[in-house]
Amino acid sequence: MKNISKNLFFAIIMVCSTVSFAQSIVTGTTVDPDSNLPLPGVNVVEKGTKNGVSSDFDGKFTLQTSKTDAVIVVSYIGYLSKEIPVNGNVDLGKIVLESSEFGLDEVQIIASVAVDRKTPVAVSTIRSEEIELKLGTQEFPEILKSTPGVYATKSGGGFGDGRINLRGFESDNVAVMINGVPVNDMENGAVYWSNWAGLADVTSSMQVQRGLGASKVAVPSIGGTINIISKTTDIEEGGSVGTSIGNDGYLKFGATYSTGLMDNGFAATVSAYKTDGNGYVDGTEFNAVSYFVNISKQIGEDHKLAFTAFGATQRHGQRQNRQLISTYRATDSGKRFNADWGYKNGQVTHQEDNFYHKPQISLNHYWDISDKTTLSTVLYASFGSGGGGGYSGTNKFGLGTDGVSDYRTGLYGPIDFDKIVDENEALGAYGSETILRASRNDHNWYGLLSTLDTQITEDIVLIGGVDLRTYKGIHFSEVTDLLGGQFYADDADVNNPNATYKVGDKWSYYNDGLVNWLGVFGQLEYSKDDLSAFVSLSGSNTSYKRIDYFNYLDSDPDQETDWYDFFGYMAKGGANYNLTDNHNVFANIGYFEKAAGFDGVFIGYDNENINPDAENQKIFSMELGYGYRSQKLSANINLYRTSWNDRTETYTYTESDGTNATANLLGVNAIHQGIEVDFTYRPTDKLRLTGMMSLGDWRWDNNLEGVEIYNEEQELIQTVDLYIEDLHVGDAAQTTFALGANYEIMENTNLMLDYNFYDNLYANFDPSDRGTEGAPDAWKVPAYSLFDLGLSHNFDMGPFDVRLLGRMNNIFNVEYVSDANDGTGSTSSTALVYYGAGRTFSIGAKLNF
Amino acid sequence: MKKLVFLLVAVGAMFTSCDPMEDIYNDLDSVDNPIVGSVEYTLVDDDYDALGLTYGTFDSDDQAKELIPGFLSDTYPIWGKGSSAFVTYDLYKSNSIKSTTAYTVTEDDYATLGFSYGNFDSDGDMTTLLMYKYPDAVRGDLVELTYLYYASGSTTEVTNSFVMLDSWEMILEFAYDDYIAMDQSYANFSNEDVAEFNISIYLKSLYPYAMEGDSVVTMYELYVSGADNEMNLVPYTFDGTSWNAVSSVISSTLQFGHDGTTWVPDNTITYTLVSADYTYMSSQLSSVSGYETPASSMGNYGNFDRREGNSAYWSLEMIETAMGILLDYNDPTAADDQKYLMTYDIYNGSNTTESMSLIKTDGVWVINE
Repeated sequence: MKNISKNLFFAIIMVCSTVSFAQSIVTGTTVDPDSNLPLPGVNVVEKGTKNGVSSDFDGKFTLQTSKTDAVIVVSYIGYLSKEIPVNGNVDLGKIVLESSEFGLDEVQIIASVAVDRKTPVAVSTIRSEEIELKLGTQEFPEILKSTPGVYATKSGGGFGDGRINLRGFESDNVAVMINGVPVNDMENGAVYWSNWAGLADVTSSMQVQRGLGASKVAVPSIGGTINIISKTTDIEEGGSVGTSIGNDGYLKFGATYSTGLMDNGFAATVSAYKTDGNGYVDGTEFNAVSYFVNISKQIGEDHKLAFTAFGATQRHGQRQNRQLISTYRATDSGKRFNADWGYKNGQVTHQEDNFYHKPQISLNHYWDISDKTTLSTVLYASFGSGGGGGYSGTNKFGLGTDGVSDYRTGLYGPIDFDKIVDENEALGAYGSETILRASRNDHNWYGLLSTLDTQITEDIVLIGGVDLRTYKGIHFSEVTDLLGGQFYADDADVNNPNATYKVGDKWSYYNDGLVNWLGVFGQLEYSKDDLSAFVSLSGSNTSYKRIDYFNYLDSDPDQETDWYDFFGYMAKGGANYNLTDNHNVFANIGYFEKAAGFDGVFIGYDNENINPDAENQKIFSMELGYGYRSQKLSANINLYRTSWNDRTETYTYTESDGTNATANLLGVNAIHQGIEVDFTYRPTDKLRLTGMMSLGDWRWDNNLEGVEIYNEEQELIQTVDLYIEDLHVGDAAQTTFALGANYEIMENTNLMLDYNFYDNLYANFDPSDRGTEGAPDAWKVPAYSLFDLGLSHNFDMGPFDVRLLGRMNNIFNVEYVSDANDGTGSTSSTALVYYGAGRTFSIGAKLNF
Repeated sequence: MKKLVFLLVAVGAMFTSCDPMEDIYNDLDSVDNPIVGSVEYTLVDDDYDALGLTYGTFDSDDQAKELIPGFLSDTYPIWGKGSSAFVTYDLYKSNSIKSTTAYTVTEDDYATLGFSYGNFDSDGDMTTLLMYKYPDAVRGDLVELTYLYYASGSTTEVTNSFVMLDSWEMILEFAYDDYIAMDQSYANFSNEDVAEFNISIYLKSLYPYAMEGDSVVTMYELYVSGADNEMNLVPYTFDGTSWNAVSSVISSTLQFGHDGTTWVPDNTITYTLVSADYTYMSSQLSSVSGYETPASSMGNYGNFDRREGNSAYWSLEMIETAMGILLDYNDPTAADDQKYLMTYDIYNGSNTTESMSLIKTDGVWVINE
């Protein structure tokens, strides 16, 4: 069949060629600018005609023009179209396409995006095209689930509650940067993905740098760095309108429009999406609106300004409380079961929910000072407001014995808020005994990140800069629903004893966490022929201050603490050597010290028990890598070993005068080592196979036995034992495999099948709780396999280039535990777990113009 | 070859993890998950018939303990381990006289029992003798006892009747004058209802200062036409206002529990803690060494923190202590062997409940394994 159609095709060409005389043959090879590798599937069209071809698997094309004197238009999504005038038969040679996004190159420098076969770190990069194909209704971090070293889950399953562990490290040890701006929480280092709901729609690329990473600024890159580059501005005018629907009432729609680079030097892109749904898990209804604005202006030859603002305002019901497996099994909902919601006056009401809005605003300035020197500066601000909802007062929300509770409708049923309302109403002037509240975690964060990049010699580049941040975290509890009562009485505010509170009031606690950050960094890069190398040094001073408006009288000087300074630094280096055009090897090594988090300094939420000598955490990491690149196969192998020493561990005791004091325990260490393999194989131009294997060996390193804690009078207070030696690190699958196939089943139609396997997942536990000798490893969660299916189809409809996309995740509806907390005796019967989602689907259409 | 091996391993891994929860679910399913019910039930006529108790009463508590489990199994066949039933039934406590013996206390008896003056001098002394002399006495045994009694400075020989009911009781017998005082023409009654009523009135005059709870066992002679007269025993108790004849049919309640196989007599009280209980335990333990943090956490959250290794962690031993304090407060008069099944709120990362079974042993509440 193939031969027949091919022959037919040629026959038609032959027929055509006999009638047309004035024609010529144009050949060439299309090339990707980043990898310098051939770019297949690029459209090559003779301008003003419908005469066109696509470049083949090797990037090669041959176009027979209808006129001798013609203009060839070379175009590809995400790249600038090129128009090339031709005359007669000609070989255009390599045609390097340029990114269509304005300012993307510059932002990639600020963000320290790693370059293949040059930057000596292990990386995986996912571009917007693939994000679009893979996302569906998944959480943003889940896009990375087929990447080595990654364990990503939906956690409780609420919208935006996803999480990602890298090489077994939790989010506070994984640096996340958006356009080069670090976004880990300034106080505890955590990353809240719900802050970034909708970011996937405006992401240009997402790069996971495992291990030390390529970041020049000091970031907590113990597990790795996730480097997200948002879209900037399209140089060409256009846009898109898209919508998708999915399981459990999922509906998303939105639009993007770019003005293109106008004559006055301005270019703007705006994008907005709205997403609503009921959630796969019971009681996880959500609403979100995400937006993105980018305005860029070229000022003269040498200056470029870009203003970016993006954010998402969202509210979603959560599954906060994990349950026993036997509990899920006893419920009607099974893996969708959630205890944390109910009905009030006929409306779904969440006992646990989350709402947040964090606009991230930045102004980028790029200045080509000379041919050899550039200065890139980002001035940014973000304002977070929101928090997590829960209850206070009398707990009426338990599941009861065997699912029977006076406050639930039916066995393991939803919460009967009406009964609670009735009881609160009956209390009259005594006020509510049970209310809903939100633990607010607002913040204001301003930062400046400036990078000077100068070419010292032809082979050596010096990069240096500053990283300044100032942050104020505002923590308080807010009454959100009195549940029928007249008020809520609470005595926590010493400045307002016997207070009564109404909806919107701050109560229970109210304090500020202030963090100032002063960082400098410098990096030398050497690159000549097949060798590239770098050394990098950075240091940062973190200052903490705490203000407590409730625990201390306004007249009490203790209401506001002094500043406490902590110094951290990082030194790393590495080299890559390209053995041949196919083979490269690299190595990197680094050491850094990370200051303790805010809670490691201000222990016990007060201004007296301060730990001014909180110990730095120390990380030593080294890595070897090998890469193979050819037209059909690219593959990587990495070996790594990361020692994480002196995990923040504090012990609080009471001094003889009754005050609390803190001792720092050193020596809680972990070693994460492993091997990672990944490949992409294109046997034909219709089929692309990808695969990954990641074998980790992540364990706590040593026991702490008989560590003696002394008070100020040098009296022995306590002897601490921690038995953790050789225990597996929990909360992330240490063994993962992935296999994927993307096959063009017919023209413009691709079928994608992905397989993921997770094993050696141990339940999460706190090593500080392991005081019993001989206790076993945490419960090992059963291994599980998931299959995902995708189908995409592109077609033209009038002026639109339409893409239809269907996805089904977990097609076999496998029931599995994705997250577990270890319980007594470390068995399946005591572990508190979240189930992963069963089969989910989405179908979407996007019209590009 | 290496690829093939890897592929096989991968495919193998794939299939073993197709249903990752299978083993855990099998384990869960292999554990009995009984239906637990609780009922308060009063036996009705049909039930006594079904049990072959034609009089509609049990003869003894032991008989009830023997027969009711079978009845419960038939009535609640789907209920399993942990179920409880409070069964109310009628117990027939016969007040009829089964045997009559006359006995005169000997000098040896006095000596053996340590009455060195050779006489009795207080109410309990006769019971002591009867228990010594008739250790195997059963309900309805009557003894006409003749003994020496010292009172008001002199020793006299007296004869009184004693009957074994729940214990030995001295019988109040009536003389001719008494019957006359009770509006009878002869030294007997001819109607049981009249006898019960008139005696109750008469007792008021005999014991004008009776206190609530006082009791007395009376015996009267009933005239039976054409046969020998009968001696009838009627115990009375004083309720503060009047004397009431104690019926020989007594409503009685027994608690049964299902032990997984069958129903067994069980006095377990099931109790779910309320918020005041946590407040009380917290206040009692907040300054006890080792309990400071857990007790304060309990006061704040109204539950037991069960996250092992956490500073506010409650071990089972600690919970046992706390429950003991609570039970001593809530049920200070509980007798030994009283059992409680306490259900309490805990936090183990999630809000849920646990239960603990306790039994009072030698005055102390301990875990009932």
